[in-house]
Amino acid sequence: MRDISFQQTDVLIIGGGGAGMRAAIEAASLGCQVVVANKGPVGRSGTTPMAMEAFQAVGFPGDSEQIHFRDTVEGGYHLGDENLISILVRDAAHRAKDLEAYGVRFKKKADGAYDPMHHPGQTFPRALFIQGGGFGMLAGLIQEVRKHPEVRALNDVFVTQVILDRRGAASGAILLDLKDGRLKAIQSKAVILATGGYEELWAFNDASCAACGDGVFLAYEAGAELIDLEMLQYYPTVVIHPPSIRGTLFQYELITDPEMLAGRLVNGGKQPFFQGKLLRDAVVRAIWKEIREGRSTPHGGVYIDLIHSTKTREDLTRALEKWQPNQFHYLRDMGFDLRETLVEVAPHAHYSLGGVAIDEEARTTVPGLFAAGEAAGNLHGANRVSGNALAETQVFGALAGASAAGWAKSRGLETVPLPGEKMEGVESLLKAWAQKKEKGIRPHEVRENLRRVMWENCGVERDARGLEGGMKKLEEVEDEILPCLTIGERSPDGSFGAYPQELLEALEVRMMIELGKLVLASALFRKETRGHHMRQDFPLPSGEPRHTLVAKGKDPWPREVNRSGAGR
Amino acid sequence: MTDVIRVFIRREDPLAGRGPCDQVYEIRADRDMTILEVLQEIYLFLDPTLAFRPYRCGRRLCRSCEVNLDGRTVRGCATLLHPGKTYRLEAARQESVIRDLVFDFDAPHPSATGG
Repeated sequence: MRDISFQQTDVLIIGGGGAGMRAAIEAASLGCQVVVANKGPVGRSGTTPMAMEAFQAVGFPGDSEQIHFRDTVEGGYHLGDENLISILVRDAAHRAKDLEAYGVRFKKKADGAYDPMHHPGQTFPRALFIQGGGFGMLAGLIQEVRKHPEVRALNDVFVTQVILDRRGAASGAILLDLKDGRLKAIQSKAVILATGGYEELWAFNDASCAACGDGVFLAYEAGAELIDLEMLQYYPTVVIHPPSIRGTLFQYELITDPEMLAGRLVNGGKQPFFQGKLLRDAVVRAIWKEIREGRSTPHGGVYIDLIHSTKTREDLTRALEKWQPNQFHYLRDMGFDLRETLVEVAPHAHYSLGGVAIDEEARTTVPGLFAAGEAAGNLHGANRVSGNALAETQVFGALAGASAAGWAKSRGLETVPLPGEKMEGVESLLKAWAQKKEKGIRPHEVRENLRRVMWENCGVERDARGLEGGMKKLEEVEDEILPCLTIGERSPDGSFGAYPQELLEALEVRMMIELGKLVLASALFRKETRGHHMRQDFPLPSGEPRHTLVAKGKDPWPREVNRSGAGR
Repeated sequence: MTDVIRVFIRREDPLAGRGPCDQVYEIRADRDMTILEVLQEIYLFLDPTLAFRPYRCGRRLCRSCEVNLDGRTVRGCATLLHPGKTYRLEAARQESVIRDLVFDFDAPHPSATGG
């Protein structure tokens, strides 16, 4: 099952979403050969195509980078790294211009100026509206990447390990090629992790089924520091019923805004339960209170109510067409016309605020290893303001591409070819899973088990007892269930054959269990309530906020938050 | 009222030289289900070897779940199958099947629009 004829490149980018593709453009522009390894087909997989339309950048009269900075710091409850936030607000508008040059279309007014939305947490309207949302943004990036022959995209590959050279620098990766089920290797001078988040660890999430934290796990295994893993952002209004449209996000920011849809959120008794423009964590808290206190809908959520919108039907239709066209049409064609039907929604895991710790050059603590986008962890803090995620992919994707290119130029490829034994670890794992077992357990059963544990023990509300119980359960899964994993079908030559979905799931779930334990340990370590981390046993913030760090072989430890932001 | 959604699926594994051949599956259902839901049920409860792309962008945009349903190309996330009926599914691009319903987006395709 081994294909030793590995490839070589200057910069290997793991993940072909917004951050990865932007990094590819940057590194290629600086003269590097680039390989982008993506778990699915680029542009049709991962988290970016699911992203809403908002790209936060300054442009409105009276607004400034300083105000964007302040909104982001305060919106993140002062846990965001202010050095990184300074970079975000400095570069966001420039990266929006880049996107326009790539052919991405923004909603504009008649005079050609941006027509931004005014989302909660923004002092001025700052959510530039990308036509087609993340999908539209990625389409433009792909068009631009195609102009660079230095970039090669590998679709349908799953990276199992980042390879370190003798001096401990990242110098390539081992991957499973899903097209033929074989292990392969890529040797590179630098590696960028742009794999998105780890929301799939939770039973209820609105993210891609591929959002398993691949890059965060790879960084951990390579020895890098991870940061604030307990910080998971929930999105308040994700469809929970019927199952055919479960997981579809509808933007709460638009529902109650009198300028937008002028509707409301109501509980199971059809009563409104909050007012005003609230940040995401506050709306999640308000909804969770209704659910916990028994005022939920039949399937355990609350309702989006546009039936009682104060707009006329014509105006409401126009507003839906203008601000949420894809969602509106999709739900309507699936039998849910928002103008006539209440839709049941509840908070879901939405965005990984935590991830790989990076510095101002998108470097991790492992030499030659960089991270950008949702995979990185210290930008937003304890909550993310709407629109900062797509901006993050572009600002830090470009930064990581430039940094990796600079690093790659300063070193040569290892002269020693990649030794075959680097693959032995993953090979022996695959062999063990391939053996027929008396009581074999399929990967998806383990995955569902893990997701339930994380939702029940480390969900919207947390306490020490639940978190410790969750840790015990995951340790049991790891010790007792993981060795029983079994994978259905194999080819006679010992390979897993083309598109081995169960093997992919097994590799993912092994990684998710490890990450789940790290999230639980981090959540136990943060003995306070801050933003989306709500501890019932510590219901208040505790003094000056600190990061939670974890790394291989170490217990969680705290770190001061960088306060040297230039925008202050 | 529970009934059965019956689907014939064209199975093929070109790398291993297997197929193509049709395999029939039956799912008990008391409501309309999307193609993606039906495939997920088959994969979880009937046949772990069935290959399809489970990704869903949530807005009917990405087309990763494109599949041929009774002769026309549809999106698996947004096409409902009804209890009591029989359907036939095959890969949306026959010329570049990786396995079963999964095809290679990298392969040249006359109607490829990119992105």
